[in-house]
Amino acid sequence: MVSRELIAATTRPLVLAVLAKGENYGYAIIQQVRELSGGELDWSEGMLYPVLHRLEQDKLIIGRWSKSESGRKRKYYRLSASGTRAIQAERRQWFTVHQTLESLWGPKSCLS
Amino acid sequence: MFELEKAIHDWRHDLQQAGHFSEETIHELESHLRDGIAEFIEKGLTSKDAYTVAAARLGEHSALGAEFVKVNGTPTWQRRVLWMLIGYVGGIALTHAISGASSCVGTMPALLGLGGASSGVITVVTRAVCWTFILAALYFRARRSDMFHEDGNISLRWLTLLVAVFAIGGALTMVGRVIHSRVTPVAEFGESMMWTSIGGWAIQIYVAIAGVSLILAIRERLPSESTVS
Repeated sequence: MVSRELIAATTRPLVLAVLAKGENYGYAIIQQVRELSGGELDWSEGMLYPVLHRLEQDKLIIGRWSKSESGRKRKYYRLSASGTRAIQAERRQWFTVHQTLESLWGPKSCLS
Repeated sequence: MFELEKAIHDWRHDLQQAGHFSEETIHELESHLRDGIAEFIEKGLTSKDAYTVAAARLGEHSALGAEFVKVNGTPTWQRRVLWMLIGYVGGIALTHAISGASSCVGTMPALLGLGGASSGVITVVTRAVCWTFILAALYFRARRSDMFHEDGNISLRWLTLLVAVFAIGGALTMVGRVIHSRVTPVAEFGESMMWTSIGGWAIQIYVAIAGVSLILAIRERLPSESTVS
């Protein structure tokens, strides 16, 4: 299981990356991340919303209320133009970290 | 017997009481809770278990509130103060408008030589009609825009307190004015009333200007909030 600190640090790029694939809402974003990480990234669900609201305040994502298939109202988020640019910056930073660690630790297979 | 809707209603009420969440945020969290409940029920859990698991996964209200405060500062109380100020300043503006209108109407009997009592009665009636019209318009406007949310109602205790304050305040004002008019010599009474009126008007203008300044200051600090449409 991934530590709380690392989960907190990765929330922003993960949310932006999920939204880069298309408009989505909180519950579905959490499910996608859980699924893609094989259950390793298990967010405290309510904590996603302050992050979404912060991204919205920073104008990186745009939220809108719409009716779901069930007829209930849901808030859907999508990337803004500055959000798309922010992803490029996040990618560069995370690849830098990833490459640095990989060069120190070696490829994944050597870890086991 | 477990009632799912009641449990969700209580959960929502607890969030509102916490005071850290805007109505929009509560809507969003409730939507998440309902998504979770629907998923767990589909997986075979009872509605009670589905609710318990979904609510637990959303997290403790206090921890959630702490996170939202970090993001939003203290928008909830700021919004409340903002609306109180808007209401107060709006009330002052309406009072002035109605007072002006009723004064104009109230001078007619005096001009026609009908005497002070009829002038006073017509002024009061004009004010009552204006306020009734405005309050009725506000009521019907509020009903149409669904402002009276089931959880947003004023509790009976506060309503009673409000009525008591109005009643006691009104009674004291009336008694004070009657005593004042009885004990003050006629020649001084008019001057006394004039200065009281000018002073009261000046204070209301001062408070209105201060209120508008505060509204502008608070609005600048508030994060934008999209509406649940």
